[in-house]
Amino acid sequence: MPKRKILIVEDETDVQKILTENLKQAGYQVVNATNGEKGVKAALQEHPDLILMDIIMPVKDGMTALKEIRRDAWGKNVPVIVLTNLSDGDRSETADNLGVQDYLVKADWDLREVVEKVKQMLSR
Amino acid sequence: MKRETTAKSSILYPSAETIKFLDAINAIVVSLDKDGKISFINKAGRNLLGYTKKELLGKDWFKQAIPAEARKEIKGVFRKLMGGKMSFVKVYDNEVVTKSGKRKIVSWHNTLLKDKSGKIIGTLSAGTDITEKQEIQQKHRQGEATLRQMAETIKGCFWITRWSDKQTIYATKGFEKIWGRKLEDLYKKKNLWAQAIYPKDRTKALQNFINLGKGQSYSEEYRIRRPDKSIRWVRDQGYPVKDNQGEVKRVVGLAQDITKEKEAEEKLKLSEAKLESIISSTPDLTFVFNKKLDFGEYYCPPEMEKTLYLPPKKFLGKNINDIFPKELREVVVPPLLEAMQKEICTSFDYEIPIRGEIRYYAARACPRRDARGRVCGVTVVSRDISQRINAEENMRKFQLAAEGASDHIVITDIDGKIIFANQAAEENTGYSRKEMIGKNPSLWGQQMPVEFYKKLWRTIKIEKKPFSGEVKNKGKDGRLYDAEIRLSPILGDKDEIIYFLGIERDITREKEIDRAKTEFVSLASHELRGPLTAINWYTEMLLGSKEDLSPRCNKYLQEIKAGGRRMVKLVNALLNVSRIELGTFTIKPELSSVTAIIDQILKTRQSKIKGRGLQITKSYQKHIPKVKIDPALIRTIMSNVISNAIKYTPAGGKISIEVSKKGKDIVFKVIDSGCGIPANQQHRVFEKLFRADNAVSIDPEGHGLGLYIVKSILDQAGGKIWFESALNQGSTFYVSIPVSGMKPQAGKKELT
Repeated sequence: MPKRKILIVEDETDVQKILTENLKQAGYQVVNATNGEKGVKAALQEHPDLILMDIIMPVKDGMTALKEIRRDAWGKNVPVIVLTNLSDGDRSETADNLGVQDYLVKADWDLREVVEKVKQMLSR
Repeated sequence: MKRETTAKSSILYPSAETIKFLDAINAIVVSLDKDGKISFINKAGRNLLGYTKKELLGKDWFKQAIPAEARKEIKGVFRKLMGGKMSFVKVYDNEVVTKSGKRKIVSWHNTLLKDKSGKIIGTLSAGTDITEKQEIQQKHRQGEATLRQMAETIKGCFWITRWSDKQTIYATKGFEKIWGRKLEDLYKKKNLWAQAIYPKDRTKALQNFINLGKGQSYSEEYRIRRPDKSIRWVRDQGYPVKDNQGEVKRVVGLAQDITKEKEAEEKLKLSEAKLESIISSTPDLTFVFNKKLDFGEYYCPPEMEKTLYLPPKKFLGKNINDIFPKELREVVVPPLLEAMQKEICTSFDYEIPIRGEIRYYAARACPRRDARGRVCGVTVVSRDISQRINAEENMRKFQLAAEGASDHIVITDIDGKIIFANQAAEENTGYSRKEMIGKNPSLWGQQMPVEFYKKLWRTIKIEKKPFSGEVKNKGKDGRLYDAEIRLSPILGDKDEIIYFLGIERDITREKEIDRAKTEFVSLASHELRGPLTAINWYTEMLLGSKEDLSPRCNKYLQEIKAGGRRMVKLVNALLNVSRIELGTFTIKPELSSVTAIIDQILKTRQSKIKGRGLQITKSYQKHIPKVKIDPALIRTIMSNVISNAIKYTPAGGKISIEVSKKGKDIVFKVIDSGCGIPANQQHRVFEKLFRADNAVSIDPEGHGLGLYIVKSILDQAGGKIWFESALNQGSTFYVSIPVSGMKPQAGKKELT
């Protein structure tokens, strides 16, 4: 069984590095994009099994990027976990409407918990 | 009187023809013989006496017709006449008695009857009944006597003046009493009467007298001056007496002394005036002065006694000039003198220091008159207008001060009509003062819900308490601005509202700065989360790595992890605060069980509770209804309160949690046996970032935002929080939420 592919769209290098290392250790293939625009491109090219999407990013924010991905035939159904610094209270209706599987405030979660969420998501 | 000569030629016994004639006349004709026996009496005579012919003829006249008491004398006279021993009495009046016993007076004309030889044979008398005439004369005499008697005894003076030369020809003794002059002088000096009249009244009195000549009577009152300079009031009535030709011959009159009447009247007037002033104006002080300005009587409402310049003992009977200081005399004395001199009422204001406080009075001085109408002093009625003056003065001072203030200041009357607005009010609202005066401040208000204004008016008008709050107002140009308002009812002495004072501050800019600040906090907090996440996750990776860590490294990494956790909590709290302050958090009430939420909270705290050996007692009242609350907010609220109880209660302590329905509220009670809150810091417990001294020493890492957030949420949601606490004994926190539920709020963001 080929490795499941995860796209991480994240501009914070530290977070990106940590997630990449830990998800790879967990046995996944990881693709990185450092802003929303690159994220859309990577998603449509790589067709990942799961996208971890940050919201506040330069060039194109995560919500806009997600909207574009959902417009694509393939992108319509790809599972997405939003990983952000914006509080749960800040989540906009768009986030809900865009079929986000989970909305996680990074600081509120242990790394272990995040990896666990990903595993659960992909084992379905 | 009929002519008696008709019977002259007749004899003692007239012929039938003569009798016929004598019977026809009105005069009484009687002839007596020498012995006094009636030889003839005509019809008039018989009618007078009431006898028939038979009863009279041949009878003794004297026995029959003369009263017994006079009979002897008259008969004596008759005999002497008959004997020729007495000269003849031609006319004689005497009384006769009629058959019915009535007395009549008859005036007789007598003739001696002689025979041819000249021998006296009898008398022939013709008489006229003069009874009525006599009676009239008698009455007349009596009347005149009575009149004179009356005239002499009446208190007044009855007088008669001859018109041709205006000489008083008769005046009664009363003249002397009233005028204080002798009657003889009045008869001697024609103009004495006129001279005695008080100069001011003289012209009118003389005019009235002159009018008597035109046939006009008069009745008038005037004053006279007596030789001893005293004054009397006289009421004089005069009537013209005309002769047959209608010419005024004499004038008669009656003058009476009415001084006492006048005095009484004057006194009455005065007392009426006094009474009126006392009744109509209870707060007035009334002072009565004599001409020299000595204090006489005074009237002072009892409650005003204390406000008198001097106690009555010290001013009664004293002269105003000896009592009042110069400045006061200069103000008060001139109007009093003017009132007396010009005989007018004068008004003036004065101020007087009374026990260190200046009191203001408005006074009115009116001349007093004595019984004779002369000015004899002055009455001063003073009204204390200090309150008004002070109010005006205060208002003026206030306006002066308010004018330059940077805050917008408005004063309205009790109905909310603007009576004053300062320059800042013009700048704030954009309306000119002309546009504002007389209008209601709603001119630029009315942007808030109706309930807000209802509460506002209830507070200031009914509860008479100040109201403050933040409002949105609308300037003349349509610009909406934020304002902080403070409205206060200004109360008078009797706790009545005199006016309302409104101070408004445009805080739009402050609000903007505030918002910017809060937004900055929000942004900064978000930005903090990134690095914080990196630190926490790296620490986690190190702790979870398979390499062996020295115990020291492990310990430090644990410390870093704990610090990271606290930091995350602080950031979250700051974000909540910023949301609360921006007013952007949502309240989404849904029917929930409050006890279930508390149970959940306790579950998550279970390890801590066990670790510290705390005893938790739950006591939920039965049938606590489900309530419309925002479960997330209630969780935030209750976990804060419960966490505090756990945090500040020493190991092994007790915590009791009670939930009950009290009236219209669900009340949560969290009782701990912790350190308590120092009494002098209790009032600051809900302040942002405040931490009590003992709390800091127990938990140095708390941030002082928890109870602030809780209180802010409850304020917005319609709930309440309060507490009781005793140092080192414990605290009890109460949270109440209306059974009717939380007020929903459609904000953008939820609290975390």
